[in-house]
Amino acid sequence: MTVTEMLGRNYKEIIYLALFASLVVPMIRPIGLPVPIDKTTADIYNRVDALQPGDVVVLGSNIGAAIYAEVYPQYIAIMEHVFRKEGVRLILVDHGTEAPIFAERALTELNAAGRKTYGVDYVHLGYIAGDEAAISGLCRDLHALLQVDYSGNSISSLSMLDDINGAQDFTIVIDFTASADSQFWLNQAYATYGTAIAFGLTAVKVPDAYAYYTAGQIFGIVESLKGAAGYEILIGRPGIAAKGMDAQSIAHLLYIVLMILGNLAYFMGGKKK
Amino acid sequence: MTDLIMALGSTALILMIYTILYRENPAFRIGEHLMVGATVGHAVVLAVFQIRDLAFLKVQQGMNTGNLGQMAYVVPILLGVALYLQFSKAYRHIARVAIAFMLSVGITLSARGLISVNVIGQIKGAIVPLNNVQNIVYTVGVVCVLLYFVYEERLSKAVGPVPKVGRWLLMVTMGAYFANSIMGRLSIVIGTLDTILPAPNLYLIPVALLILIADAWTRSKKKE
Repeated sequence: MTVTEMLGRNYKEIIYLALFASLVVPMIRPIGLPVPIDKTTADIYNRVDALQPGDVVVLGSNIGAAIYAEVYPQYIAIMEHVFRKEGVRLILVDHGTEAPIFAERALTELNAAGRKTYGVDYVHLGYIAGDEAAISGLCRDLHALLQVDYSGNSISSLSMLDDINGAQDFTIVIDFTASADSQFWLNQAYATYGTAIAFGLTAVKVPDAYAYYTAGQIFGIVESLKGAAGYEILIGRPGIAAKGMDAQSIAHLLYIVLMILGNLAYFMGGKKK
Repeated sequence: MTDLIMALGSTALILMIYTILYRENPAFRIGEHLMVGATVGHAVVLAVFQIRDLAFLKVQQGMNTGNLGQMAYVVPILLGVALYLQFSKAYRHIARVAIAFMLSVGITLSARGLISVNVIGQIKGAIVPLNNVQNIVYTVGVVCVLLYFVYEERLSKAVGPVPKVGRWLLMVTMGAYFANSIMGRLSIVIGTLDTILPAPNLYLIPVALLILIADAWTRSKKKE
């Protein structure tokens, strides 16, 4: 068999197996490749780190099963960082129907109830239907919009929200999504009230967000699992994202090798395929 | 015990979904339908709670206190019900009123922010001082790409190869998009592996592989 014939064969199953091995082996036996920390991630870390007692952080989330692997590690890392800041108040709000499940899971995982007081240090408002209209209502007057939080507690019974009415009281908003709600926060909170916004995004959505970052409209972006890994390292709490970076790097190398082989097959085969 | 059952259940479902890499099969179908069913069921329950919390509770309070502002929430409830008249030939026109209302509110809400963020903000952001390499590359990129989208013949001729540079820059951007999608897909697999690799979930992988091998063997025997 000639080299051209070898390269021209269908290797679908072998490629699947090679990809599986390139992901599994580094996860079982981590190599410990260094994880670079992006400026976009460091900007969010610095902003959260500079928060003062009394400041209000809003974490918007549209995390669902489809984007859980990419965005949940970012969400939990930033939530942990906020919890470490004494006196900083946290509001969780969900823009997707599956998001409350992951918000509650993150609170349990971080032992929020054991570290902070619900209604005083943090609240979970739950899912609010209505997309941009919901975010607009939340930014204008959350007391008028909502009667109860995720657990059914009356909003008026949550002392933390007594002096928080809307976007003018939010210090920063970080939205975790793969959907349009990041744009809604920009339209309704940044454009109208000048609230500082940042995004935690899936990799596919990152190039779009760079336009806002370079224009100074958002103060940071956590980019997919890579950004989450950087944030985990910055807060000194390596988790799934940091663990997965070796696997990601090896798999990327495999992709590059496959692309080179594919091009070799194309050119050596006389560009027939 | 519940945690163990949950972990094994989720791993089994993940492996069932991944069997599509081998071929279309009943295990994949069951996993897929369970996923869709659970998502829709959850969304329906949440929607019912939303109508209760965002509308019915307010109407109820309004009726108790005589607050007209809160009682007015009956209007969106009626508009929501009107949406279902879409299925009636005789009353479809009423549904259009509700749709028109939703569209007009949506457009009005987003118009101001979109112009401010995506037009004015982006133009302001594109004007940068040319005092470092990054800003120079950025400005050259913006000009070249904008010129690529100018279809006036005389101007296109006057600027020579600049639009072509814009085209190349667009291709580089597409490459970045594609590389990001690859990174995203791999991140999803890594997240999934993190669920299935720890013991005892791990032990389901050889079981799944054995089932696939048995299926492949049976199929090859049938062909013979």
